[in-house]
Amino acid sequence: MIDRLASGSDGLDTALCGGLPLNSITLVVGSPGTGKTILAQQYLFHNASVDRPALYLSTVSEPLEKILRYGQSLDYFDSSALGSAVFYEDIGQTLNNSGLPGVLEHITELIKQRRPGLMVIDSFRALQVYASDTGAFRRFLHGLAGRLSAMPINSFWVGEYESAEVSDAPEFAVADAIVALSTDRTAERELRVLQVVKLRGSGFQPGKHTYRLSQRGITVFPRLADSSDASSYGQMSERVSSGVAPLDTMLSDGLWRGSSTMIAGPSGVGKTLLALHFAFAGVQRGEVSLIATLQENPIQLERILRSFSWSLQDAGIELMYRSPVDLYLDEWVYDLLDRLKQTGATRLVIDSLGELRSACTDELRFREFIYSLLQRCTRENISVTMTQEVPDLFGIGRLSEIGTSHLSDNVIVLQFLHDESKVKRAITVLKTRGSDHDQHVRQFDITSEGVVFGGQFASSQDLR
Amino acid sequence: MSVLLAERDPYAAEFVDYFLRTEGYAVRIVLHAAEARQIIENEPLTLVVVDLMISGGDGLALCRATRERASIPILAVSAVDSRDEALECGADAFLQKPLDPLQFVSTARDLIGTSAYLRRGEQS
Repeated sequence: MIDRLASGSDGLDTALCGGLPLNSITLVVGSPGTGKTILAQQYLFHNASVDRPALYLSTVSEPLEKILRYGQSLDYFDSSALGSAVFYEDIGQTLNNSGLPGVLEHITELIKQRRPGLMVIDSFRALQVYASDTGAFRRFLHGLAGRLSAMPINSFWVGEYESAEVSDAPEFAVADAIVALSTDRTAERELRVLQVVKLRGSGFQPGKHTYRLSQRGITVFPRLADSSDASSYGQMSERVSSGVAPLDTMLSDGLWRGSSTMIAGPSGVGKTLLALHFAFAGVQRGEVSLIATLQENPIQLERILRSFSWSLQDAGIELMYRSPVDLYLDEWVYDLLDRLKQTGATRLVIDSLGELRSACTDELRFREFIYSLLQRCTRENISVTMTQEVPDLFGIGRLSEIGTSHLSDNVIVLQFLHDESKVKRAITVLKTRGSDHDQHVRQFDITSEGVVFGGQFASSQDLR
Repeated sequence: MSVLLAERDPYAAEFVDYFLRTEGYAVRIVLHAAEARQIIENEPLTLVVVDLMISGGDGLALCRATRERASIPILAVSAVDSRDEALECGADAFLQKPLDPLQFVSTARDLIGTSAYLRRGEQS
């Protein structure tokens, strides 16, 4: 069992499967502005104590004064710890006067005098140019790593390395852990991403984890990608109402509790309304329903609800509204999971999958994400209804392009149909997992009562 | 108050030497087990610190040999958790590396029985 060093960011520790191995050398790499110094300082202030102080050594990249000036504006920066638990030193002068041998000597003395538990060298990349050749730099690395390994020190080597250097630069081989910070750009949109490239002696969550930099420092949202969980859980054999009695009949007495249902259809056909029926049906039974919307803001949604005699103020209704602008998928999902836990919600409405999909640059990643979310919900017996807009206004040709339809237990399709001079609405239960369903296409209308079913279509009706 | 430090890692030896000296102990460093054996046989010592990985892993044998010759306290250290093996071979205590300076000095002081400063005070 490896002892771990916590970061002060639960998300980062999750990505590191518990934290960095204790007393390891960690290389923090990334372009300027990605938050390398913030990450290193966050570790320092989170772990430093008078008995096991932290040393921050600046080299020749950024003046120490500037590091301190910007650092003090962040929440983790505790000025009362300076000089007792956290020490800042400038080794740039030693580097300029005595080169790498002088730096080794200086660091050795600091270890003896301060007996630090943590040490940051920023920028480590800047040290390379002081070596006369590759051999000299390797000797310096060996000497430094030897000294750091001889003592219980967690060290962070911070540097602006290019991705091509990962396989060539000798410090990457010496490091026990490598954390890379970067920015993914899609059109005008930017996403900060953290990757654990190497973690000696421990597993870690692979892939790109998004993060934000703020007053609080670095907050990491580990990529939601649960592997299959074969452990048993208390699956409830109970049917729950969709909130529309004739639809329940089509579904053979409602939906399985803990199942997921996709409502697909074109804009304006009534997807959100049908999903709201599901949410308010839960509330009527004394359940808590969480509406997670990325479309209408709370005022707009309340106006819609009022026209159907519902309200966000109704007991049991919980709302999580997030703007789709600058949305981080994993930040959203951890907020959602927290809200589900806090409220004890047993019904969840996601409106809509389209907005979530837009926040994800990769189709495969989005499927993993939805799969993981639905698995977490089903294991908690939370019934989920998701809306999905389809581009076809009349007649839906394909659902397979909506990559998540096969992940849903149930699929309900809403359509517009031509009927001479009028437009009619039609509902079809396309798929139910683990139960039978009515395969007829049924007509429905939207009235002040909400979704109201009509009869079956005449045989002459064109259903395409 | 002489401490023999039988340590394969020169960096670890340098730090341990420094921490013991600041506590008032005289330290002799050897990097090989054979050299350590000679000193143990011929010189008065108050503590022997043995890195179990010295000379390719000769530390346990060195502990055993030391215990057979004298009743000097033995502090075994290693990067690998070999506490049981070390105690079985005659070590009085075991610490896993990397060594925490406070814990190391405190253990050494306990094994010697009193600090070098106190003993010096008793003698005067």
